[in-house]
Amino acid sequence: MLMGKRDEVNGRPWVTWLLLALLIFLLLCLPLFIRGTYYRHIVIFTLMYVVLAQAWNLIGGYAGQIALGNMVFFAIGAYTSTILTIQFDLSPWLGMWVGGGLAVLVSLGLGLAVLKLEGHYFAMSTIAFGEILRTVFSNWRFVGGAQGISLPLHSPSLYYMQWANKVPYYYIILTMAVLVTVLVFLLDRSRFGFYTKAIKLDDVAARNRGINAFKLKLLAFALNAFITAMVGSFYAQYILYISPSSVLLLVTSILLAVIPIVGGVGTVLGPILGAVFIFPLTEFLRAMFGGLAMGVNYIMFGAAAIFVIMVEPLGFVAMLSCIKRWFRRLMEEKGGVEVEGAEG
Amino acid sequence: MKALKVDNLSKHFGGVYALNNVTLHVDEGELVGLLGPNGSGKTTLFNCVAGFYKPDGGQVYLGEREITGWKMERICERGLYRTFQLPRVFPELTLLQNVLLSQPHWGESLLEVMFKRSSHSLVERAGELIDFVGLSHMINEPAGSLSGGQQKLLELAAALMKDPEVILLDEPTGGVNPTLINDIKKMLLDLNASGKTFFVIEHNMDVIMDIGQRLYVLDYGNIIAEGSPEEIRNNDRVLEAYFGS
Repeated sequence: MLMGKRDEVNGRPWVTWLLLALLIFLLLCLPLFIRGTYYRHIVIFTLMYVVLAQAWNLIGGYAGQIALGNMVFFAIGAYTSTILTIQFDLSPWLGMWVGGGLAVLVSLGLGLAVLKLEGHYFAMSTIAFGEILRTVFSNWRFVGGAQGISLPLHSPSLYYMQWANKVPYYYIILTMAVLVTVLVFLLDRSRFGFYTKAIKLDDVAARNRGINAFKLKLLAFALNAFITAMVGSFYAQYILYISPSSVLLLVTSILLAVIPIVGGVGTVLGPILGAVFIFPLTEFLRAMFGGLAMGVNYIMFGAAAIFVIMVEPLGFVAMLSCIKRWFRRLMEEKGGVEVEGAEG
Repeated sequence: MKALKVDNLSKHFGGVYALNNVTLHVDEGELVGLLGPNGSGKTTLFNCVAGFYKPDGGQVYLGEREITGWKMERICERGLYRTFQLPRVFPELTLLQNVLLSQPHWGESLLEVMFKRSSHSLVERAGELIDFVGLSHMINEPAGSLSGGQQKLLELAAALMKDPEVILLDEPTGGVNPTLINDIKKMLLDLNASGKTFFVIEHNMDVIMDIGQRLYVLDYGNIIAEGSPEEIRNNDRVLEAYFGS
């Protein structure tokens, strides 16, 4: 749509495509280089947070609605596919779509009720909803109560999405990350991208242009719910145990917002950079300092996140473009010197 | 043929009547001015007409259709566009995107919004309008880099993008330098000559006396005078409202 800008960005399109191809190739080969189970686990979780952060980015980054209850949708996905597998022997491959659909319905219901609220009030109501659901799930016998549910073990099988080693899980979550990133990229480039940005900047002025802001917010919320629920099902299959205290934690809901904020909200790249930085960091801090005293790792994580936002409120993406500009200027200066030399 | 008709419109905030049985109309192809001292209810009238406030009484008609109490996005899509006293452009979006936001949204499906860009013809039209208001050299710059006066021009381009039946302008020359005021005056006259209908709030007497074909004067929520610029200039009640006496 923006001719001038596109030309500028893709001044050398083949470089971009080459880098992208190289990156995908490296990601496909990654299990060859990373062999330790623990490190593979970290890579899988990082990718999981990439997908979750991309989903949050749609409602929080683009539509500008700070949702702090995303674990609700994650839990809906996890519980739905798990219960369907246990009760009806349904493959999680299908169960995750059912979970996604259910999450969309819940998000529409919740959205109709609270998306009209502004700013903090919306955030508060999503927190409240998450906490209510956690209490309900902790006391609901059918979903295993506070003890949660363990998935029955099967011998490695595609049907039950269970394997003895982590490589298949890696490829599943990698596929999800790539697909969701492509989706967000397409949305960003289409009308959705600048309509939602307009809504985020000035809701009333956007409506004054005839844009149905409420409908678009609902759309973003539902997409976010669907993707988050799909990841929830994946998590259940990967960990094989779910409980309210693992999939309905407020802390995790907040983390899902912090990752894209630190990475750069409302951009395609932001959630990726955020997740790649933050998840390994939290894991490292937990491993190194978790035993020191209760919550020390959380305090350090919070300090790191605040530091990044203080240095650059728009996150890593803004830092990156700053570095790019600086680099380009450096190149131009060097080029200029050469031209002068040639003239002399 | 009336493009806009307001019948006995009332709006009160607590015990204060901001609008008291206001009746007025704008004919198709007319450029009508709305005058009045500060606090007389001009912007409140716009807000009630364009769906920002729900009026407490009375009706608003756009052409033959009653639009009283409709939501602002619906009113906008049906052909009534209003601009703001302080321009409300989207600073982080480019000029082109700012104007494209006004593309028709009626019947625009969610899938289209999600996966399609604005059509080529719409982008072209937006470009022409930005050119018309003299900002084409900045078309891909963020709107935040514009001056206040330029933002008014951008809002005008965005209004035209909608091709509405009536355009409500809230102080189109407020806070704009004299040279630009002349440009805006000329643009409005040209657009009006080509058939566009305007209803304009304007504090600058020189401007509105020059371009308005018919004027209404509002004071304390009541219409106190109506007529040609010449008539208004010599109306005692208007002079009293403005200067006391």
